[in-house]
Amino acid sequence: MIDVNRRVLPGFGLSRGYTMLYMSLLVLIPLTACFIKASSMSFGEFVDAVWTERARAAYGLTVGASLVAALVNLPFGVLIAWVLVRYRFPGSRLFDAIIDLPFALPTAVAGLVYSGLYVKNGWLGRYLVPLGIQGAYSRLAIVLVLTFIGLPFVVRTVQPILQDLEAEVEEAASCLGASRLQTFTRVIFPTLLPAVVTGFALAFARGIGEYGSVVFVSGNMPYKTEIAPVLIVASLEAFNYRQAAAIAVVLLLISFSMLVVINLLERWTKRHGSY
Amino acid sequence: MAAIDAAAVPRRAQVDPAAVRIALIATALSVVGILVIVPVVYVFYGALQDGLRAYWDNLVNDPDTLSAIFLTLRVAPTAVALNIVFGVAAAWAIARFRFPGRTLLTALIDLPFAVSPVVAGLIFVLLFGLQGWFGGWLREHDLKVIFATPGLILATAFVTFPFVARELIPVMEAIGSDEETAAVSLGARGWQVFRRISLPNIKWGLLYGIILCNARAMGEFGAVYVVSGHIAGQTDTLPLRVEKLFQEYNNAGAYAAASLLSSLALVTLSIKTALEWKNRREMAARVREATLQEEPTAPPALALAVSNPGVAQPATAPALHAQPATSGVERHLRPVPSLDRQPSNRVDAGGEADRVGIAVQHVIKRFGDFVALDDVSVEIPHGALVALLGPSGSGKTTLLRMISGLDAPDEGAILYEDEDTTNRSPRDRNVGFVFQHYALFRHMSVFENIAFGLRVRKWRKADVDRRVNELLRLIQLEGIGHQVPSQLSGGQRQRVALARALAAQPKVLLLDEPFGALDAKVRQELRQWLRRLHDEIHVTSVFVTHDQEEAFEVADRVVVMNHGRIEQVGTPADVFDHPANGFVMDFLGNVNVFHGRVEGGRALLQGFEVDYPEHRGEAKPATVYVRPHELEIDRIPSDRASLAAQVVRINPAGVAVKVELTARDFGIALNVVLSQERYVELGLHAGDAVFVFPKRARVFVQDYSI
Repeated sequence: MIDVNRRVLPGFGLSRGYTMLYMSLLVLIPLTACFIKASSMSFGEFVDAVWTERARAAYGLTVGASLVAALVNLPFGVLIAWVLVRYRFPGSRLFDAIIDLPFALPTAVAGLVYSGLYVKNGWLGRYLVPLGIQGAYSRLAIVLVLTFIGLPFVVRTVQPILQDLEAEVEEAASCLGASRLQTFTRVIFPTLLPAVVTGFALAFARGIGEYGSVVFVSGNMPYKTEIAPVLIVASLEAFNYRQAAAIAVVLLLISFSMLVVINLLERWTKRHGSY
Repeated sequence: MAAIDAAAVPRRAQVDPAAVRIALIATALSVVGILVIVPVVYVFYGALQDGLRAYWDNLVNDPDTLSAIFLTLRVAPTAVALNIVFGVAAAWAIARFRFPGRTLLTALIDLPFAVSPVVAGLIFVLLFGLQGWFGGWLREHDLKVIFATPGLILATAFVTFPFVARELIPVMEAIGSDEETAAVSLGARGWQVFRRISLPNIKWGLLYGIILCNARAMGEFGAVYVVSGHIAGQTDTLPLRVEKLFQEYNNAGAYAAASLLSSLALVTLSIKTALEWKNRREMAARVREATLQEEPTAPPALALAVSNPGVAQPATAPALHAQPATSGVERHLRPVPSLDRQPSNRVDAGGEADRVGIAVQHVIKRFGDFVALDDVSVEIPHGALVALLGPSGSGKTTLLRMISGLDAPDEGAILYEDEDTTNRSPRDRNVGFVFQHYALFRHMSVFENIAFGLRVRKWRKADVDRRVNELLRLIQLEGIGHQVPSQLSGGQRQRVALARALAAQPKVLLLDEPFGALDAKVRQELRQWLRRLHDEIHVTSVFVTHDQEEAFEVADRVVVMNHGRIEQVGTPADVFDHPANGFVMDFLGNVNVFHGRVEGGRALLQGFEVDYPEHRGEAKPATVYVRPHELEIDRIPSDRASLAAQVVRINPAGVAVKVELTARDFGIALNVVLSQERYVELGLHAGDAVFVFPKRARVFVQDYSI
């Protein structure tokens, strides 16, 4: 069924041609430039550029903080999706709309506010800092802001699946003698699982690339609170373009593999979501 | 009205205990409160804590902040405009066509979601920066990309290019291409299809994509951070300005700038929410209307009348054209034609049977390995109403689409009255196509739907009005021209679809399963109506059906298809009484099948034999078909051709009595239809042992060559 519509509907050549041209000019050629720049180094040079102690610490922090933030979002995301789909309460639709704020709010604003809230004399910091919880200029700060950034992902992937879940399925489970909790753990959650995992992967991927909010809250201390994208900027500011390109290649490879994983997960979700 | 309530609020038999519910809601609210609501409130608190006066000073009386605002208002809309064009093109290509690399292209659109914005900025520095590939060339020509507005636009466009496409693709896939295909069949060309059909349907999705894209474009930080160079008052966008003020410990200024960006985010969300609520309301309204319209009383009594403008005209004149005399006064109601309608009417439409309307010549169509049409040739007489009849997958719809020009054959030709139209578009062929699910344009009124084919052909407005009103009269929906399709019942939609197809006076009318989606009673009425309509307008018509009763009742001729081939062409009486082969026999109604062989002028079957003088040669395997009403039941065996059987079940309800039997000795089940009189005469009961013999049998000798 390769060209079912090709003859009937107009504009196939134009739309596909323009799509490919635009993506080539804006995306593929620049990305290729990055790889070519990095490949002008020998393998040894490349490893030296991307595998310094400072860089290793930055990769570890980037991946680690994103992972923790995505893990935190997992139960919260499912909970919020559940509340949104199953319960009606005053302001529930407003609540639904607010979930998208992290998508729409510029990351610089998020960073600015989070640093302000959790410092010693901030609204939240004045209670937390005396307890020894440093919510600004620390690794915790990075996790916090990445949790904010990633919050909508799990909610918005789980929500539609939960919405489409037929009431009959739960009724069948209860007729067969399952308790409410058993119904959730044995019937509902397994159905949601692919969506949950997809949402987790999306939040994780978003965290790895995040820059704007993190530079505000982290303090950017080498070895301690410096994330990988900051390293690229530092290399650029030192006019070390090759090192910047080399680190970018590492990040790109991570991004590409995440993209592949997310695509596979989405297919899995689609297969699971329907009969 | 229970259906409406059910649609609005999902039915949940199990309700969680109040304590659990409250605990869960409270937890969710606290999480979102601390993570999202408190920070947003804090932005405005931080901006306004020194009073409005200070806020104003921080925004407008800081020249660098002011210029950052203006730069953002230049950069973001430009990037968004680029991405709108891209998004629409990409969605059109991906949602409407299948092509190699489509999956890859779809995945690539998500790339900016996964790529760190800093990397996005970096790649443009590597290309256009001083040390970059084009850096030298740009400097020679005194052009600046990096550390200037073009770089900011490029970086912003990169980061935000998925948004419009990502919003549109699912919307377009959900809407489907039926309406666009219908527009093409009505003669719309390229840009007209998009502007008149697709755009109105996707406008809300498009708007949302644009708003989201714009919000992200204005708020983008990482990518523009790398390409901007931070020249105060020149290359600092608003988010960059926030960062610079923050680094300068000017918190009041930073929060003031940030509050602007937050307001933008809040406006974006409000519009999004409003759009979603609007959609939900429209969906609910649609459900409500559909529920109301499906009431059994909804379809009007369309057995009433057909206005009759074409009847007195020469058959060659364009049917149905405007005529002042066809005023409401002169319309007369015609009774429903009785079943014994003149047979001459059916076979050839007005003595023109010799003229060929459509000729299909050796058409082959493959979909991958599947052969949908296997060397099909058939001629449709001019002015006839022909049914393509066959089981699903037999190729009948494919053949209809070939005739219409909506699909192209791989080999072979299609002629309209000796003119080769194989490579012509539906518009140039001048066909009217009625789609199975009508494909009415949901955003247009009934009037505009019917007018569409005329508008895209640039008819004068007065002519359009006259023609559409005439058609509304013809389909007896004069009062409802202003309604939209969702307000119509199934039967009304079907008639609107028909009127729309007829509007531009097509040479050929094609109907794909025209009654398939209707309930039994409406279907019956519409069949008769279509037949009468055709008797008046005489346009060469072909319709697809899998219902043999429908084909027999409506068509002059029936084309029986199976496995991409034509099995038989003939009048309904021809194919029913003289089926060309076992398939046709089997497909046209119930049949009892017996296997055996033919030999020396007789067919020897399981338990009995019949004469078969056509074959006197050596033995060959054969299959014998006997219709249920051609089997006779008796209490005593006839002398030679009877089969011992036992009555299993009797269904005496109906005009005739249906009897199921088994012939134990041969393990075959039999169906017999008896008249009520014969049934009473025999006094049959389940379990009775009887004898069955055929009054008439059709023998098909199997051909070894197959």
